[in-house]
Order: sequence, then C-alpha cells, then structure tokens
Amino acid sequence: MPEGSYWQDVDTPADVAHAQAMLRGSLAKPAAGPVSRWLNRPFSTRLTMLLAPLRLSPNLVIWLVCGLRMLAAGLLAAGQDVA
Amino acid sequence: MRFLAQATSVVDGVDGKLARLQLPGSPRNALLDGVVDRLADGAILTGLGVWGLPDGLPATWTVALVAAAITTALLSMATKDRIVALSVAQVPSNAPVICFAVGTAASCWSRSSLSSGSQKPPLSRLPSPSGLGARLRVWCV
Repeated sequence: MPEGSYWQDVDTPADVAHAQAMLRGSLAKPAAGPVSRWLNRPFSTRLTMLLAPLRLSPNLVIWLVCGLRMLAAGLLAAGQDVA
Repeated sequence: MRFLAQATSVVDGVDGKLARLQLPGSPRNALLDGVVDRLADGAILTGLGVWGLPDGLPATWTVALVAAAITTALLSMATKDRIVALSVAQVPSNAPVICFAVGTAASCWSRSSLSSGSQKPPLSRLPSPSGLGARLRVWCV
C-alpha cells in the first residue's frame, strides 16, 4: 500500500458510506484554486465516485471530455443556444 | 446545452480523480490530459471568437482579442508548471481570485450590454484576460 494511504474495516453499510466519503475527500488537491475548490470540485468528485465502479480508463475519459469540449466550441462558434 | 462549456470544465476534473482512484496514477496520463486540455481551451476560445465576429468590433480586433486570450491561457498554465518544476517561487494563491473578479466584471458588463438592446451580447468587445475569464463569461450568460 502506498505511503500515506489509509485503510479501514468495512463491516456494515455505515462503514461503506464512511469509506466512500473518505475516498471522495482524498480526491481533492490541496493546491486547487477557489473556482476548482468551490464550483467544480463538489460536482466532479461526486461524478467520479459514481463512475468509479465502471472502471473506465482515465485516458478514455480524457478523450470523451475533449470531444465534449470540441462540441461546445462548435456550438459556440455556431451561436447555438448561447444567448 | 447552454452550460456545456462550463459543464465540461467540471467533467474535466473527473479523469484525474479516476486515475488517482485506480492506483497508481500515470505521468503519461497527466501529460496527455494537459496537452488535450490546452487544445480544447484553444478550441473554445476560438469558438467564442467566431461567435463574436459578427458583432461590434472589426474582425481584426476580434482576432487580436482571441489570440491574446489563447496566449494568456496557455501562458498561465505554462508559467504555473514552470514555477512548480523549477521551484523558483510559490504559485500566488490569489491569482485565480483576481481572474475570477476580472472575468465576473467582464461578464456583468457584457450582460448589461445584452439587456440594453442587442439580442446577442457583443462578445467581440470582451477583453478576456484568460481562459478562465472566457469560461466564466460563458458560465454567466
């Protein structure tokens, strides 16, 4: 187990919830700025925990997000649903 | 779809967090993420510029503003990475707050222009200070 990691016994549903909360809390980067910390992170950490059981490749997510952002750029350029 | 650009910046944080959950994280993934993110930043800022072309300022000004926005967005990340890599100084923690304030002020100014008659906000008049400012602009529309 990498240094700094933690472990806990998981015997009850309450333990599962606690472990998930601890895992979600461990995803935060201490150096993140206020926009990331207060606007993006509450959503992205929850979404990560939802997607985690699917064991998606991070590289796949990188390209999926890139595709979404390119779509957003295209929609902006076309003036679609912006104003 | 109205908030797609902002929503993607939220989802953008998911890949790194998934990588950290699936130990060990790979430096190659982090490198790929950084490169692809900068490409997408450029695309979104270019999209904003194309959207703003028909309004207000001459095309030359719009192109210059988009170029400045892309340059400062790239420079912001590159400078931060170099500061961390070379350990020459601490990344100023108040920099994002300043960007937030400037971006929000620009957004409010643009919104007031929208409510004063034009159907489409004069984006080409928006002097976006960075990619963050442009994203905030989209977020506030």
